[in-house]
Amino acid sequence: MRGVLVIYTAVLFLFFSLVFSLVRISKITADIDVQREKLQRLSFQVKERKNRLEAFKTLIEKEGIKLYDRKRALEVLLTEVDGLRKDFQLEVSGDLRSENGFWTMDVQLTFKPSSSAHLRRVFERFSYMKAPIVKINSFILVSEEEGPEATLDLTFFMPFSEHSE
Amino acid sequence: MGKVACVSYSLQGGRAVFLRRIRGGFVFEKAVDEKPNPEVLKNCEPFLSLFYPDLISEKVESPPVDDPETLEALLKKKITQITGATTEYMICYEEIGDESGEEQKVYRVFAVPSEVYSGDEFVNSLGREKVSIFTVSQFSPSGISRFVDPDKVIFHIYMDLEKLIMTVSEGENILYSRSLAVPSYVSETGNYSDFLLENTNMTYVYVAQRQGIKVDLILVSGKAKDEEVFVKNLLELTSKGIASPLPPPQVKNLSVHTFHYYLPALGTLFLSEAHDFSPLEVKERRRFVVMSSRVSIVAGFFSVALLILLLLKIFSVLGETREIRSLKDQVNRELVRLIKDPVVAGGEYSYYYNYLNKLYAVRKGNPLNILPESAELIKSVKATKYALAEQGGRIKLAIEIDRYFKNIVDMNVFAEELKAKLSSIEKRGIKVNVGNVVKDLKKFNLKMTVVLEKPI
Repeated sequence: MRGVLVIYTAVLFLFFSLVFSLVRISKITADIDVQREKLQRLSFQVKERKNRLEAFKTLIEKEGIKLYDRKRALEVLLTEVDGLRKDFQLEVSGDLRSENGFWTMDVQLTFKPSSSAHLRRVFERFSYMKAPIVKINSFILVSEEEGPEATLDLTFFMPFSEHSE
Repeated sequence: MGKVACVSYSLQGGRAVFLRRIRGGFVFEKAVDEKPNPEVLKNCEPFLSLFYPDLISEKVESPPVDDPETLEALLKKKITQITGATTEYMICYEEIGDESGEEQKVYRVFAVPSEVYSGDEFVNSLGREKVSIFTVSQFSPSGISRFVDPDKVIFHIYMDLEKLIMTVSEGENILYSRSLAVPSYVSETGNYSDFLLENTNMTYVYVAQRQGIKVDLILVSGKAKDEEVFVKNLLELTSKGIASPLPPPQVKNLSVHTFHYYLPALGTLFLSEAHDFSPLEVKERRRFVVMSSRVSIVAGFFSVALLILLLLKIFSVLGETREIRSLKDQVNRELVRLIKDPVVAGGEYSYYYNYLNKLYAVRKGNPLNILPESAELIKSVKATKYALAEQGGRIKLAIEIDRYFKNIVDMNVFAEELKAKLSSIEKRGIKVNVGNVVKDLKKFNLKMTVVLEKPI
């Protein structure tokens, strides 16, 4: 009788152990599902970042912009500004500043445009410059008796990287 | 399926039938014409019926009691009062439904002294719980009668060389039972018919008249069925149907001869628990074991299903774990590649980001962006001053006109043409302001300021 009861108890114990195991494993499965979902989301985010980075690099390549350190950037800026003295009457209208990773310089150019084609060339020269970037603040063209006179107020922004020093 | 041993025995001897359980019944294996050794029964389910001639049978009244233990104690006390003896009894009982009321119940109680049970060699040797039923051989014929017709009141007469049993039953209920040992003079003379007739006649009359039991059918079994004179006389006396039972359909491979010879042993197998004299706690323990076995079978069945389910789940979890590990590795690899990228790793990202942002902002806010819309105007007006600037998120072009004309017509034509051009510019989303207009009609001079505003 005792032996039989031991067997019955063992069967019941087995049954409840199995039920318990199933409940545990169901919880584990649920946890795994959550983990997988998180990982898939993370994987998606990583891929998205990667794509964005690739697009960013493509853009850098397309724009042809380069990395300058602080010193080199200043050299480029000053050379560029100096180079303008050949073609324009140049007046530096503000201090040379270093702001948010840019060397910044305000310049006023005065010149007498010979034709509208000359004007267009000047505009194009400044509009498409990338190192330094040239912001045209204002342009004034006055017709004088001896011919038209143009004044350009420009701000030069020359980027530099602190890391590459 | 297990083995079953049905034993009918007395102090002098006994008979045993061994069966094997099959689905829906039993298969006869062997019969032994002696009291078997208790050791032989250890591997069987034993159904025991003791021939105890001094069985007490009484109708006892009792108030309704729900608790079976209390009821049994009450009935035992009443039996002791009736017999007047100091012996302790073991009882089995049935409620007589026809005679019971709501306030008073009537029970048919059968009793044997406790020492019959406690001193029984089978019970002691096998263990109380191991014994499936412990009853008296007087009840056993009713186990067969119920298969002949469960709805009829059957007067069953069984006789062997040792004893005569007469049991009146209806289905599972035993209504009356009487037994007596075959006297030695009958065995010596072999005149069983007279002995049978005398006793059955007397009992039948007692049952019919004193107990008021209406008998539907008489069954004759064992040695009694071979006594033709007796059967013939009984038929005349009772004018009732008389029959001899056949082996019950539940038992296979059993010959009619063996069936009749071992009838009390076989009948024991088909008695209900109500005719078991085992103590209440033994019955409860037995019920618990039966219930446990059923629960265990169901639990075992489900365990197999659960085990399969568990294994499937484990395999699926293993698979998923592998999948997650590979996904994790892949994400890690991509993340490392991303972090190690020169643009990110060298801290150049923010440099290029700021550079490009500044470049695009400057391009967007370039005051020259207003020229495509205003080029035609600029060419035609021949103004004295043009001023271009970006101001408050807008590009502004101010044109100062100071022109002399040959005549008033030219001046008006110019003014009209200018108006048309400005209107066309306005349609392209450019805000146009014309101010300080001075017309000198004598000198044909026109002065004005035109301001164009374009949102960035």
